[in-house]
Amino acid sequence: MRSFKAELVDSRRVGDLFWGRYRAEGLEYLQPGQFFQVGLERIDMFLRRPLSVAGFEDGLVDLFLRIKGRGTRAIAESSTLSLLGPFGEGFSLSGARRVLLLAGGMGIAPVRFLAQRLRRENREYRLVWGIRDGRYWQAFGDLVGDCEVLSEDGSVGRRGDVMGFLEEESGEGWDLVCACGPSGMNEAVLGWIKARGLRGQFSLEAHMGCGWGGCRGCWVRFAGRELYVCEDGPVVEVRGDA
Amino acid sequence: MLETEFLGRRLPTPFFIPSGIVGDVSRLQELDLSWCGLFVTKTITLHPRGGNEGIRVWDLPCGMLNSIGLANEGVEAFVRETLPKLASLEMEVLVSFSVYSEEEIPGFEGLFAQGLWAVELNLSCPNVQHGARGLIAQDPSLSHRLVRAVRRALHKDTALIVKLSPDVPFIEDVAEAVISAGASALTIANTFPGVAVDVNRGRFVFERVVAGMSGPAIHPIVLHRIWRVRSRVLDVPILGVGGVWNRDSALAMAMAGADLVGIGSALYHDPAVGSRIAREVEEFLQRQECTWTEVVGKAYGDI
Ligand SMILES: Cc1cc2nc3c(=O)[nH]c(=O)nc-3n(C[C@H](O)[C@H](O)[C@H](O)COP(=O)(O)OP(=O)(O)OC[C@H]3O[C@@H](n4cnc5c(N)ncnc54)[C@H](O)[C@@H]3O)c2cc1C
Ligand SMILES: Cc1cc2nc3c(=O)[nH]c(=O)nc-3n(C[C@H](O)[C@H](O)[C@H](O)COP(=O)(O)O)c2cc1C
Ligand code: FES
Repeated sequence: MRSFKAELVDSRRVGDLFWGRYRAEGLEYLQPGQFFQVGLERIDMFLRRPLSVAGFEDGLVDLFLRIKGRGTRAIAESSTLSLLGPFGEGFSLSGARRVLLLAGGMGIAPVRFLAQRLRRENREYRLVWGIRDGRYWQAFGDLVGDCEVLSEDGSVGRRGDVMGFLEEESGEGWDLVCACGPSGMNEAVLGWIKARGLRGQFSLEAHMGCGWGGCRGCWVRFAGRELYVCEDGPVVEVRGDA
Repeated sequence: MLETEFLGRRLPTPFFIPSGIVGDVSRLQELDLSWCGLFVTKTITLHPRGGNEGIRVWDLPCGMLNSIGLANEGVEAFVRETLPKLASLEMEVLVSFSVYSEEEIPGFEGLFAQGLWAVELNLSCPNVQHGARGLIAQDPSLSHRLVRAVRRALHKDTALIVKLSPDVPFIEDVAEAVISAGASALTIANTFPGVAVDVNRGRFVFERVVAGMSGPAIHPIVLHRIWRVRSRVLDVPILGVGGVWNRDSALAMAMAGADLVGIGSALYHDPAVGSRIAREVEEFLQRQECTWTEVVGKAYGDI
C-alpha cells in the first residue's frame, strides 16, 4: 500500500465544483475506475475521502469534485494532498469494441478517465452525460471533450437526462455499457441493460472508513449482490440475461 | 529496545492492531507491519453475520463512528479458512470472539481445540444487540458468569483476555469481576457509543442510531478508564487501546498503565502511523535511557 504526495499544478472552481490537476511523483499506472483515499496532513480530517481518478496523463492526476461537506471543501482548498492507493477494481475493457458511457452529474469523474483511455486506444465509444445545469459544463466540459450533454434545465446540450436518453436508445451495437451516476440512475441503467441482455459495468459509491478492506464499512447491495465497494468494486460487472 | 514480555511471550514491540481494524486478513500483506507486535482478529461470533444495514462509517473532526455490526464469517469458517491464513504471518495473533450467552460456548469448541496461546473475549461491542439492556460488559455479575464459563471451556494453557467497554461508571468493578472469574489480562477499551445526524438529510446517519466512536477524541477518556482500573488492580496486564495516533498519545497510554498499546482507527487516517510511532517511541526510550517496561505505569511515580 503506497501513498503519494500530490502537488496542485492547475485548478478551476465553479461554485461548488472543483477541478484540480496534481503532480504526483512515482505514480506509474492507473486504471479507469480506480480511486484514491485522499487525505490531508491534519488530524482534524480523520478519515480520508474516496475520490475517483478523473484523468491521468504525463504523470498528472486529475480530480473532479463536488464540494459536499467538510472533507471535500478542505481538499479543494489544499495545494498538497496525500493520495493513498490506487484502490479497487476498475473498468475492464477486454473484448469490448464499442462502448457506451453513461455519466450522471459527478459520475463524470471516472467516466472521463475511461473516455481518455478509450480515445488513446482508438476504441469506439459514445459518451452521454446528464447534468443538472450549466455549472457542470463550465467546470469540466472542456476536459471531458466529445460527448452528448443532457441538462435538466436545458442550458447546455439537449434538455433531458440519462433516463430519458435510455427510453429512446435501442441498445443495439454496444458490447459494453459503463455507467456512473446517482443510485437512481444506476438502477435505471441496470434495468435497461438487463432487459436487453447487454454487458454493463457500474461504478458504485459507499461511505468508506479505510478504502482497503480493513473496516468492513463500505457495504452495499446492488443488482442482487452484497458487496464491499472498496474490494469488490467500485466497478462491478453485471450481465443482462435477455 | 521495544521488545516486551506479555503473558509469557516475547513480543518484538508492545504495539498491536486491535480487533476489527483489519477485517480482511489477506490485506495484511499490503500493510507495513514491522512496527506491530501483535495482531488481533476481527471479532468472530458463533454464526456468520452480514453486519448492519445502511451507512456504516462516518468521519468526525477527530475520530470516527462505526456501525459495522460485527460482520464476520462465523467461528466455523474462521477455523477452516482464516486461521490457516494467519498461521503464515510472522506475528503473534490473538483471536477475538464474542458470545452472547453461556449456551453459545460449546459452539466454539472447534476454536478452543486449536491450542491457541490466548484469546480475546469481546464483551463490549456497541453495534449489536446483546439483549434487552446494554452490553454484557456493563453488567459485572453477568460478565463474571460468562467469563467463568468461557474459562472452563478453554484449554488450561490458553490465556483469556477480556475486552471491556469504557461506557460504564465504575470500570474497575467490571475489571475485578472478570479477573476473579479467570481473566488473565484486560483490553481497555472498546468504542464509546455515539450518535450522528446528517443535517442535510435531516436524519440519523446510522440505521441503529447508535454507533461506536474511536480515534483521537476518545484518548483522554480511555486514559481515565485505564487509570481507574490500574489504581485498583495492580498485577494484571492491560492492553490499552483508544485514540492513539502519535508518539505522545502512545507513551501517555503506557505511562498511565497500559502494558501494550493498540493503534486502531489511526491506521485509516494514515497506514504509516504505526511505524512512525514505533520509531519515535524507540528514539524517546534511547534518549531517556530506559526500557518500555520502565515506561509502563511511570505516571504513578514510585508505588
Ligand atoms: C469510489 C468512490 C469514488 C468517488 N469519486 C468521487 C469523485 O470523483 N468526485 C466527487 O466529488 N465525489 C466522489 N465520491 C464521493 C465523495 O467521496 C464524497 O462526496 C465525499 O466523501 C464527501 O465528503 P465531505 O466531507 O465533503 O461530505 P460530508 O457529507 O460532510 O461527509 C460526511 C461523511 O460521509 C462520507 N460521505 C458523504 N457522501 C459520500 C459519498 N457520496 N460517497 C462516499 N462517502 C460519502 C464522507 O466521506 C464523510 O465520512 C466518490 C465516492 C466513492 C465511494
Ligand atoms: C471499523 C472498526 C471495527 C471494529 N471492530 C471491532 C471488533 O470486531 N471487535 C472489537 O473488539 N473491537 C472492534 N473495534 C474497536 C477497536 O478494536 C478499538 O477498541 C477502538 O477502535 C478504539 O481504538 P482506536 O481509537 O485506536 O481505533 C472496531 C473499531 C473500528 C473503528
Ligand atoms: S472501506 Fe473499509 S472495507 Fe471498504
